[in-house]
Amino acid sequence: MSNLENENQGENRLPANEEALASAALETIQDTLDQFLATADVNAVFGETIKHQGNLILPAAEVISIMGFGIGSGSGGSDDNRGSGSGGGGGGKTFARPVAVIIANEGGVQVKPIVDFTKIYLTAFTTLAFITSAWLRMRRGR
Amino acid sequence: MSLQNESRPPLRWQGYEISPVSQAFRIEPSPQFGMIWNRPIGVWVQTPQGEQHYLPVFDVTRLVQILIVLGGMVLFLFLKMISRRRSK
Repeated sequence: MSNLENENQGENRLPANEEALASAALETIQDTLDQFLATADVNAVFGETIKHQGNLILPAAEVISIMGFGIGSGSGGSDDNRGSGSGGGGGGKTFARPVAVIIANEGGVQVKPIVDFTKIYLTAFTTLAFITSAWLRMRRGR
Repeated sequence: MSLQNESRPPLRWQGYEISPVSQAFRIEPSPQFGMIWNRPIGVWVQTPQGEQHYLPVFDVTRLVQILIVLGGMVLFLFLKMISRRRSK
């Protein structure tokens, strides 16, 4: 490898302390993600029990969690104007929707589903709008 | 990507023993990104007489949504078929 190539590689390399920082940040991100994935257990789905008039009520929900992170670093410039930097970012979102309620009393244990009519109406209207627009487009295309 | 069933320690109420079961669907395509979909799938019930049975938990909202979308697709294909026959 020529001297010129070695010099070019050296320009793109981060200083040792920044490399260590970037590596530490990456490790923290990885740990956070691992912890996040580990928290998704049965307790996230079934809530706290409610005791009311001889009934034991156990709510059940669907929980969707999404999380992502990114990290980047770089360096460059000429001999008299050299610089380097690193940065990162991340975000996450959790969606929860009640699905059913489990009720236990003297008569036994029952699972009562929770129906979200707003979601059903929205799905029906969207589907109907899609079919109508596709149908009209098809007729015009004849 | 993994699918895992988990159950909670049983709850005791008036002689009944209730063990809720959930399912976790995990996707981790890269070390920096992850998604988990947790949903309840049922409960194991043990009666005071010692009988054990399983009660499934159905997501009625999701089932109705899927039926509406599938019904819409079938209706659209049906309309398309009729339209083609008429144009011949």
